[in-house]
Amino acid sequence: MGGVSALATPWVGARTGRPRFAEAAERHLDDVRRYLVVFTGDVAAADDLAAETFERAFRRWRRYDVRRGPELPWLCGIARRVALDHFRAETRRRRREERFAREARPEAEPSLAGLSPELEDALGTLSAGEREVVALRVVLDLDAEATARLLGIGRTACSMRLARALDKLAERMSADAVA
Amino acid sequence: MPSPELLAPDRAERLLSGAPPETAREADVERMVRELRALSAPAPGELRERVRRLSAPPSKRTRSRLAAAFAAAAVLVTAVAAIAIVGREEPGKTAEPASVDPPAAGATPTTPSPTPIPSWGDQDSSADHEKQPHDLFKGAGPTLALDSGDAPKVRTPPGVVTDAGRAQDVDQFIALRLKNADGVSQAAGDALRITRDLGGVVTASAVDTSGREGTARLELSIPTRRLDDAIVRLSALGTITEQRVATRDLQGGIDRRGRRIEQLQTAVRADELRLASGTLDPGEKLEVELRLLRERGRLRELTGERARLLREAAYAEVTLTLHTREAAGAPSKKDGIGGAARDAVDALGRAGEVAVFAGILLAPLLAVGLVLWLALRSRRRRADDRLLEQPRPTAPAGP
Repeated sequence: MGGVSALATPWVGARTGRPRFAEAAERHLDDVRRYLVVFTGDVAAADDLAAETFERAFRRWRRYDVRRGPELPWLCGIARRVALDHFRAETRRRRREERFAREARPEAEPSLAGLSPELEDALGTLSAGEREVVALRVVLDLDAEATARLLGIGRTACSMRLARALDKLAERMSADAVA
Repeated sequence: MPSPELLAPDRAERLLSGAPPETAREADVERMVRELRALSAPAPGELRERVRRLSAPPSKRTRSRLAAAFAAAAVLVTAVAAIAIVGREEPGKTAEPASVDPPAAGATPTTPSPTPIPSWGDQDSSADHEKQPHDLFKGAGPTLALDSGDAPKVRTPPGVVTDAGRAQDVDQFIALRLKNADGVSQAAGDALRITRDLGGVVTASAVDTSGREGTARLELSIPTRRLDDAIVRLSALGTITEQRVATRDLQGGIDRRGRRIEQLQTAVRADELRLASGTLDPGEKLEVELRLLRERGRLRELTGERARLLREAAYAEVTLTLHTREAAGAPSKKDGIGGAARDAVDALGRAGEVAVFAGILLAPLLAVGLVLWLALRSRRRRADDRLLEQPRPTAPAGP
């Protein structure tokens, strides 16, 4: 837990420079889970997605190149793809259910331990993309370069998205405070 | 006009880096950042255990299975390589197998049988061509295996397929290598002598020697019943570098003509008797005489054709070439490692040709595939962006 500087990740200098998967998983499991919790807004789904993230990471561990960056951004990239797959699958499922006029599953209420209800509510008003940049830059404290690369956008665009998200959060929290 | 309260991107970055807030909004943001960074979401024990099991070392049983699989693969590869190497020809074997040319066009197909041509040992070598056809195709005697220092072992004329009792036209080609021009001249003389000994004739000969090199070409006509012996003795004159044989069955044609000849002979005798009887009127007599004329003419033709076929069958044509160099197309010696290396290089060359061909063929398809993939990827990204614009991508659509 706590902020992780993208530049100071310790690792075991093995023959190829790549740490053992077990050590990397142990080190970053909580971070990846936090990212998924904030990104998806669904704690229950975040656990499943975190497990799937590390399963995929294990299969691809040999392809991870330490020269391209530390492990956490790489793991978050996999987690992002897992979450997007989850969104798409759920969207398709919802559409099928709506087509057959079934009862919709009650929406899972996020329960983010450690956050005030106001901040939690404010997070819920952000788009998934905005929550994602907040999770990466603020919660995990990844640097702008790594985050931009992970999101597939430019560094400037990444900073603008962050500023917009923080503005929205502050706006919402001010409105709640006034209310 | 933008609100002064809006957070600029560079200020957001500085706040994250720990810069002190300068406005009320920035102070709010800084509080939120501290609260978010303090978010505690440790993974539950079940999830932690699940991730740990991913990187557990494989069980002993799995390891031994993997080891067994690798060992089996290694044994298989070694066996295939050994078979490939052993299956290649080793140096030193000089008995080149003869290839059997397909029969000449229009020939009656022969049926090979294990019965060889009568061997040397039938001592009668005089005027074979005068004998009746059936005498030339006696039952087979024991074959002769000649085993001299330099001669190859030949038990039956390699590749000569004959059917005992049937007339066949046989053409044989043999190429021999000699050490030098003197050897070529000597062997040519020996071949002529062998031919005469066996009752054959030399229909053409050409000998050309220059320095140490030399070639000779002899065309021999040898009684078919002595062909076996001729091949054995001629082959012993040098090292065989090439050998071919072609056979064409003539018996069917001979038999058909023989039956027709008998029919015509019977018809001729019958017409002659009619004429001699004196009971025919002038018209009938003329008709019979004309018919007799045709029958005798046809009889002469058929008799001539049959005799020609019999003469063909009586003698085999043997073309003997003598040379001092390897014949063109003869297989080169293959010594173990060098031959394997050459084969490997040839195989790589062929693989390269196939790869270039496949590459040229597949390039347009790959280009189209790449364009399609890029288009699909772009479409997927746009769909993901639309998903991420929603607060709850998995939530149902609004009413």
